[in-house]
Amino acid sequence: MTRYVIRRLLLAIPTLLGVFTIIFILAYLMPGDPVRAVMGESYRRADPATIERVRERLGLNDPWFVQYGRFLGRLVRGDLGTSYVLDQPVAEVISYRFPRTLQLMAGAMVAALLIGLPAGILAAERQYTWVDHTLMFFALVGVAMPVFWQGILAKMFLTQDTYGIALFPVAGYGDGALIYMVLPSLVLGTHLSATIARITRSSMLEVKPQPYMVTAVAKGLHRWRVVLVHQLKNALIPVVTVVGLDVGYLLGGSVVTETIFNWPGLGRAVVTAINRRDTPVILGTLVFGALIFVTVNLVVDLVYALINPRIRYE
Amino acid sequence: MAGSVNRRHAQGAPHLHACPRGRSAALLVACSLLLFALTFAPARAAGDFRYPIAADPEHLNPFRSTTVATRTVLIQVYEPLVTFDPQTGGLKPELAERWEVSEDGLTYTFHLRKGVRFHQVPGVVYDDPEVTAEDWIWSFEMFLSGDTAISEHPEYLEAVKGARAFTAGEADRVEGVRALDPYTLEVTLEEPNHRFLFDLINVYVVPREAYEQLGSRFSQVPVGTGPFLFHEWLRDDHITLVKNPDYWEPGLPKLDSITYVNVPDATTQLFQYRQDALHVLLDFPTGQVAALRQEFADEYVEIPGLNLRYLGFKWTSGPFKDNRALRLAVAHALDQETIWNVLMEGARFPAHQGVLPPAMPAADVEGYRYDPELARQYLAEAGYPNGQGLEPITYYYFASAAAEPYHAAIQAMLAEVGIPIVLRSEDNTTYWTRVGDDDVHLFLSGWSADFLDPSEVFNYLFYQGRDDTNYSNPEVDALIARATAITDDAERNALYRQIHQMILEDVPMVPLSYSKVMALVKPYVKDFFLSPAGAYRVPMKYVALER
Amino acid sequence: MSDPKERIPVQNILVQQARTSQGDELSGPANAARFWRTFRRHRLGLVGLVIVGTMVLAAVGAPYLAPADPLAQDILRARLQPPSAAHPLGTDELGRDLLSRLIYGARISLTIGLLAEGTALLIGSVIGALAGFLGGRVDDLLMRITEIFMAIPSLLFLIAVVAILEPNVVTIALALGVIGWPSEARVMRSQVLAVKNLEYVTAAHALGLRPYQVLLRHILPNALSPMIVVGTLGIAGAILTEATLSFLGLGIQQPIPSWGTMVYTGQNYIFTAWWYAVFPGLAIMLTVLGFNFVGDALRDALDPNRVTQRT
Repeated sequence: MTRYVIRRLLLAIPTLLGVFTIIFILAYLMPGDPVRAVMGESYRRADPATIERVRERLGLNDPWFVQYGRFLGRLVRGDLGTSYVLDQPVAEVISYRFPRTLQLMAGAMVAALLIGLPAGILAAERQYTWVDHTLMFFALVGVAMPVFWQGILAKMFLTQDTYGIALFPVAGYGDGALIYMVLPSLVLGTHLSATIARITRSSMLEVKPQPYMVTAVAKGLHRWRVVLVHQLKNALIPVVTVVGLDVGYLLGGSVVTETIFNWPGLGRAVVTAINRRDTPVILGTLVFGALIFVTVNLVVDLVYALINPRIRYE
Repeated sequence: MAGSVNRRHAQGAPHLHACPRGRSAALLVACSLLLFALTFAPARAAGDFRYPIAADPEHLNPFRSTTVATRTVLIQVYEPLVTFDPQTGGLKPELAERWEVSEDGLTYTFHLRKGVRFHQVPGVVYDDPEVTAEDWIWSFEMFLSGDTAISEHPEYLEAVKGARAFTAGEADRVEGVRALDPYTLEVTLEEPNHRFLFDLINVYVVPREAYEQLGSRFSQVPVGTGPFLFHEWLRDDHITLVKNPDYWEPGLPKLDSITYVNVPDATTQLFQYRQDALHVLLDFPTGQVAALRQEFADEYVEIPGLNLRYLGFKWTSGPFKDNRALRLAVAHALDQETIWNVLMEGARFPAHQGVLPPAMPAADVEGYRYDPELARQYLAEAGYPNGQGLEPITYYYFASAAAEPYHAAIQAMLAEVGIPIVLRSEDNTTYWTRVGDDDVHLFLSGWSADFLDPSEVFNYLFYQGRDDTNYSNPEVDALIARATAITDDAERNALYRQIHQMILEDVPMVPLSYSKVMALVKPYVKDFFLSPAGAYRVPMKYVALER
Repeated sequence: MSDPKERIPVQNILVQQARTSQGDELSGPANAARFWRTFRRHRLGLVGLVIVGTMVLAAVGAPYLAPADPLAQDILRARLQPPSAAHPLGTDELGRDLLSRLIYGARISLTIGLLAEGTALLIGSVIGALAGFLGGRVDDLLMRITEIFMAIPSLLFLIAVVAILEPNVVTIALALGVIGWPSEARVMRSQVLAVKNLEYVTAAHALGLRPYQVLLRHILPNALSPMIVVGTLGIAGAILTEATLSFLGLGIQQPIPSWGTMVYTGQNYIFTAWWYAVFPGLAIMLTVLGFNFVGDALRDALDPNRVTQRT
């Protein structure tokens, strides 16, 4: 197993290099002068000589391969560089924001499990009844609802006195208070909860006719005990896989959610950096994101093997 | 082929045993309890002012580039020699108690306020925290540094004698600046310049100790002499400033602290204002200006602002080059009333005058009036009767104006008289980089003057092809340069009026609208003085919360 | 938001296909009949078909169906009118008829959905088939490339691409396809792997067919049905991602009616003119829902081993 993990980690290197190169090419091709973003509103007032000196300082006059080599060389040494605009090391940008994005993703995951699992179990237990139909209908709607649209609706109906009960704060991080996490977590987690509900339902139904289930029922165990213990446990494998695969989706989905709810996470930083052509931040955060993605995939595979002993490492 | 994993239940049916249901149930209960315990928003201090900022500041370094976002915070922490008077929009003393100007307009003698001390913050130790002329000289030299890693604003002080030589590295001190004694600073200019005092508004005194001791943290931790001390900054979330207990002006500031809350979206800002999570609303959602003015009639305040929105023509290439009639056809085809009072619900003033915001001297000249018939005549005169032979022109605008609803309306109005245009929005960085290019012929643009002087518009938009229109008229250039050096207000403003007329005669752009500085202010907020330069200029030291 | 299409369905398909495997389910009248019988019994699938059909009809017949010109403004008389007989879904801030804009907007959304997914299917199929069929180092290399594209968030990729290229229907759709193919490639690869060593393929080799003939005639047909399912769901994902891009103000340019852009501008008027943001939002949701329904039904109908469920 150790050899398997090491091999997977080594394979991550070309992946990261590929991501780095593609992102660099995109950042390099993007029109628009980073100096404009560095200088902000003073760009139009500044002396052309000052603008030229800024460009020289940032190394923007160098040919593309020199810039590529400089970024890559730094990256290899573990240095992500300094943001053009923020006057702050990229490593600091990530270490400040990533925990907050992680917090939001964890919130979404919890929300999705709290909604999706019970819904899926209930739908499977009440297969073909109105309960099942209603739950599955909402699960389908949940998959189809654009995240931004949910955000608008949530803000309109769950935060305002005018329309109901002012339950939740509109936006912001609120120094990490849980109440501020509820709406963003729900919005980010809706999609996943709908997915979990559907997978749980079908997986529960597939497990149901298995012989050991019949045994459990025959032993005279309480019905819900059978459902929640024996059936659910064995139905969880596909659910875990989906949850694992969805980490990547959550990472991407956090971009919109963070924008809607003013959450100070990584996604918003990347969008701002793209708008400002802040290449060090774009490169640093996206390569970091890719690293997380690769790691999560590895962990999902390991966990999958752990709960499904029939899988072996190839 | 890595090793296979041997696990207990490697074969056969999944094992049956009691799942930790009890544990997960307990965990669930614990989670819900925690959720309820934290259901209440953190309590807010009574003397804390909650102020919305649409963009997180890039940094808080006073020498580096300033945007509205950085200035909003910096002006409460750092102080200049002279500042805006919130009531008159003119100048008033700040860290200079008074100043004299020599007869020839070249020498300024500033008498510094005594007993002004730099902020006491952790990590900074002063030999003597009191501000003296030496501190000013060091700060001037920092601003004038030619190293852009230190300063990106040498232009604030470029009028000072020897400034250019210092920035270019040809001199190791600035010739025109010297300390007559610890409390007297003398500044000599290269030539008379009526803008000099205005430019000083952005030149702050900075403690050398803080710059040296804080090192790379200096850009994140501002330390000055202002009414508020820096407390904390959570990027993209909030910045907190607290009252400076040693502030030189007795009784000020009145607030205990200011929390700058990051709210990029105007609708969200409105939601938060309604929830009392903000004490002022500064950005109005485009579609709700009229409704909000009605709903919050008692909380609404507005003053004329200093921003100009205009439609620029490329002077040096494309269809508008050397075709004054075509430029005039566009100018007379636009129904400004409909755009600004109907579509924008009165969020800005339609431009019925020229290129200067109406509060400025020399602003009262007649603009281009809406007259589609006249526009058609000019179009024919331009060589395109009814638009025949005129290729569609691309109209460029920037992403931050994309949510404003009038672009398609402008397209329809121009089509009405026979001028076809195609809309093209670019993200802000691309737009501002591209708009000066020769293949951009028609563009929406804007300009914010920092103070009430025509030079703030003329020197940047109509001088030596500096603006993206590339407009340059040698006669106008010469007059603008002459006016800058005139220190007599009446004489200068008369000249500015003449320049203004000449520019309108040339039609390098169509002025579209002038800004309104608008805000909703909670009734218990006192002395929130809006500034024409923008709401961000409000001097927070006078503001009080009286509930 | 990354591609929703990378998700659920792929998993199910992978699981299922491990069980099913070979056979050209679509060939032969008997199979077609069975397919339709199963599909028809899938009630939501029919609903989805109706929704998708309506959208296609709206897109194709827009000039005949739309009650008004989607670009015609009437600022002074018809600005922000609530739904009425003259304007069934109300008007926007320039007095344009929202229903007409929605109908024309279907063109944008469907074109982008189809073009984007077509591109993704093309790239994904080629790469997936080659990886699965050739195996070994080629497989390793292609899977590495696939992983690279999966590790880049598609929305951020799109934001960068529309900054480089002019954001129009074609560039957005192609960009979506270029970043969205990995899930297609993975499904295709798993399909090829599943049948590569089966007897009938070995037999084909033994009969002296060239490798590409084996691939084209005997392996790829097997992958057709899962690819149809992935494609259908992928269209929904592409429509959703385009709407998100437009919602961020970076998508289709004014005055072209794009649903995402309409929600983006409409949200400013949410208190004064709710219909402006609500109807385009509903249109996006319905369309996505429709494609998902059809995709689900197709999956059930195309899977011979699956016990048909009435949902």
